[in-house]
Amino acid sequence: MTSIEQSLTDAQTQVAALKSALSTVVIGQEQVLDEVLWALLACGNVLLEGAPGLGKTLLVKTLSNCLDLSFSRIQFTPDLMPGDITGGNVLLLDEQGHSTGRFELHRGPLFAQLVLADEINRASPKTQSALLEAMQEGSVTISGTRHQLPSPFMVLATENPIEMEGTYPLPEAQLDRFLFKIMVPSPTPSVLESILAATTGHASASPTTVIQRAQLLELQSLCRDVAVPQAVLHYASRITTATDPMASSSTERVRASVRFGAGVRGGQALILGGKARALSAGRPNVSFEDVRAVAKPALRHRLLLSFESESLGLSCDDVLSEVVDGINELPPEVEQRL
Amino acid sequence: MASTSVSPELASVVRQLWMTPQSWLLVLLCLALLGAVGGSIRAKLLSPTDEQIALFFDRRLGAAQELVAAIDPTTPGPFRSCLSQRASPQLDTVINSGMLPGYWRNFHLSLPVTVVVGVLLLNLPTPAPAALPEVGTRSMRLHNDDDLVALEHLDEAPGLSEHTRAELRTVTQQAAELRKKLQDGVSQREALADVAQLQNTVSEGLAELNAPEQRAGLEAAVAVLRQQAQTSSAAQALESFGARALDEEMRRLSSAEERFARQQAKQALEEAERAARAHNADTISRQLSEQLELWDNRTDAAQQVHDLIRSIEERSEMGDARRKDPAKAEALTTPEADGAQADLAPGQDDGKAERLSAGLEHSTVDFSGPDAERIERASRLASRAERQALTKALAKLQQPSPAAKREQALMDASQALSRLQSALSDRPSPLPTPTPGPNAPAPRDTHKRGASSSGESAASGDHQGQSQRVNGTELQAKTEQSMDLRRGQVTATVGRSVATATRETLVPTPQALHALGPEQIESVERARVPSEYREQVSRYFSAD
Repeated sequence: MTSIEQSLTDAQTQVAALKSALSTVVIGQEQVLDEVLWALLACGNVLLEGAPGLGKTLLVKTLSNCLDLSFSRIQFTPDLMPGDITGGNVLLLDEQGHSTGRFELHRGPLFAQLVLADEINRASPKTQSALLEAMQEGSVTISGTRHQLPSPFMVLATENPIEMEGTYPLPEAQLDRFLFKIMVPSPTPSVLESILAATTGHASASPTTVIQRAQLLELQSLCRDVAVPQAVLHYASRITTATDPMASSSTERVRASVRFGAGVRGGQALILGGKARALSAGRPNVSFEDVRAVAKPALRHRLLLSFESESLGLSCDDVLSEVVDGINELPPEVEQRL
Repeated sequence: MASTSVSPELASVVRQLWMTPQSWLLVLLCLALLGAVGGSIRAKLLSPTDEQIALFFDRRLGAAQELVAAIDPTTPGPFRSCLSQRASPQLDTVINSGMLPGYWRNFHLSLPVTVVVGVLLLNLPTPAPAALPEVGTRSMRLHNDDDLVALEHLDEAPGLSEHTRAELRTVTQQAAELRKKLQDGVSQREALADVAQLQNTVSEGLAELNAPEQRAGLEAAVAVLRQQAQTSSAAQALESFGARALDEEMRRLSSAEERFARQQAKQALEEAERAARAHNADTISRQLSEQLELWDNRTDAAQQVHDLIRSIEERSEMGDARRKDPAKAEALTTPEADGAQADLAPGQDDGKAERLSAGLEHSTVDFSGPDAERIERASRLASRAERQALTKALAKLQQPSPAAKREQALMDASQALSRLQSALSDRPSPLPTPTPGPNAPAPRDTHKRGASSSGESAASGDHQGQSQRVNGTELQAKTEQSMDLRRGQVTATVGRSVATATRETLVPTPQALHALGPEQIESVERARVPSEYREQVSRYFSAD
């Protein structure tokens, strides 16, 4: 067995162990766990959207425990200021309380490897924008000095779609920085039964660390190396382009329902998510199925629906389903011979 | 010298191709060649790429695009080797399980079918040429039988002798039989043969003067007539131009004003008649006898015309003198002239004369006789009684001889038969010869007023024939031949322009291109290479 084969096997094992550890705490959210892990492997940030009480915060806290990463939680409120999350330079005083004339950097909660931005849509846009540099470049600029954030760095934001009053919807630029937008569904009755049974007794022990930091970095590096055939790249690009209502390849539904489609970051999210999915399955290449599987979490927050579509109850997932179903994976020449 | 040799295989192919008269087979072969070339180019363009082949097998094997990733040049090296290791057993599965795509496609079935059809066509026996109806066996029906009806009543023309009527009765009977045949339907050949027989009958009648038994008498009579200058033109008419021309010459001679000239001409005519009778030329003798019988009547009529003209002219001169000198003219006035002139009072002369002249012109009298200008002028000045007398005298003068009437009837029959023959053979009808107008000269008569149609004569003529002048600023056409659309016949259209009044031009018209008759189509078929010639060439190539 070659080293790559071994690495792929190890990666598959580690991801499976991590998912298993998470599953003991977060019950019945297999799809959410998969997508969160894919984003973790792809070094992407995640926006979790779901009703209160579905375990979003619990998921992030459990993930931090399993990964042996520094964790910080920021509860976004309307009066939260950017400096509250990034930190700032503080004037030092001596023992008598006199100024020493020196400043010392007080790092904010953003200086952690796993940041939980709880109810991110309750903070003002100014504060939300403080996350842009951290999410995109992994660094924070304080008083003109750029500070590198610890690696790996991942932001997991949550938002509540129900209580929209007094919230500030995330701007498109901010949304575009999230690799995935994961919808946390309500549990089914059987799952709810399991949750009730598991959470109403004595508190169970917290899961132990499954993946060390170095291992995670290695997995993230290996994820970047996963092969993407040209045909798969072409498929991903066609899906991305088809969401643009101005593109000639877009469907009638897209032209009628979508105001703005996915851009370059959308295509990147498709491929990176596909790579992470392939790696978590121990495969050395991305397949069409990988791209299809990550299409909705990677693109749903990048589509801006028209007012008419929203009023009709049409969701981005509906549009994406139609787009993905309408694009052939194989060239027509191959389809004819099959 | 380099010798040329043909390989047996090539000769066989050429023979087969030559024996195959279907020209479309050659076209088919060319199309097949072009199709092969085009198919090769298309196959080259549509040949699958390596990526497409890998995608095909990935789908067949249910692999997650591992094969296509393994051959992708952008795949990182360590991963490519890993992928190759994974793909190897899958490719073995492909080869062992026969998952290769089928080479034959549905459209490939057309290839053996084409080959089989081509071989069958090459080995088909030479088809016999289409059975064409024999020339002339086409059944004919005549839609317009006016000419035949006219022929049937040919012997009923007034003034014909009993001998002539009996002679023409043969023509009328044959015409009646032919008309009945054409009404019932008859083959083209038979119809044309009947028409030709009729035409021969008529031609024989017209050429009776040239019969061998008449030849000696004709030459003798002509020789007698040529002895005198005034009868030389009569001799030429008798020898070359027939009874109507002789009739005209006799009318001219008998109406000469000088009695001596008339006597000399009559004497020459009598001697000519005797000479013809001496040579047993009955026909010549009979024609000249008819002219002698008419001679005195014509002389009397001519004298009467001269007297009337002279009388009218003298009264006219007296009228002019009275207008100039009434006293002198009163002594010269006679009661008849005064009474006659009462109708032509000064101030009313011109209008009255014009009305009389117009009435005279509508009579059947031909004014091309002697001194036509005097007759015309006198007719304008004549009183009603004088005009009636003048018309009667002129009619008596211009009474044709029985031979001339016979000849005219035969000429009409000949023209009708020509038209009928053209209609039956679907050929353009000969253009009808324009009948000279009332003032147009006879072609041979250079003594009379008018110019010949060739324009060589210096005399002036009005050049007006029966056809109407077409007025217009540009060339206009007048259809001389009706179009029978049901038969698709080819017609000729004559156009006459105002700018060139004496010339006629064939003007092609769309009607002439309306349709092709069956004969035209058959002629195209017959224009192909004859089967005998094809067989000859085949024998040449197979004789190696």
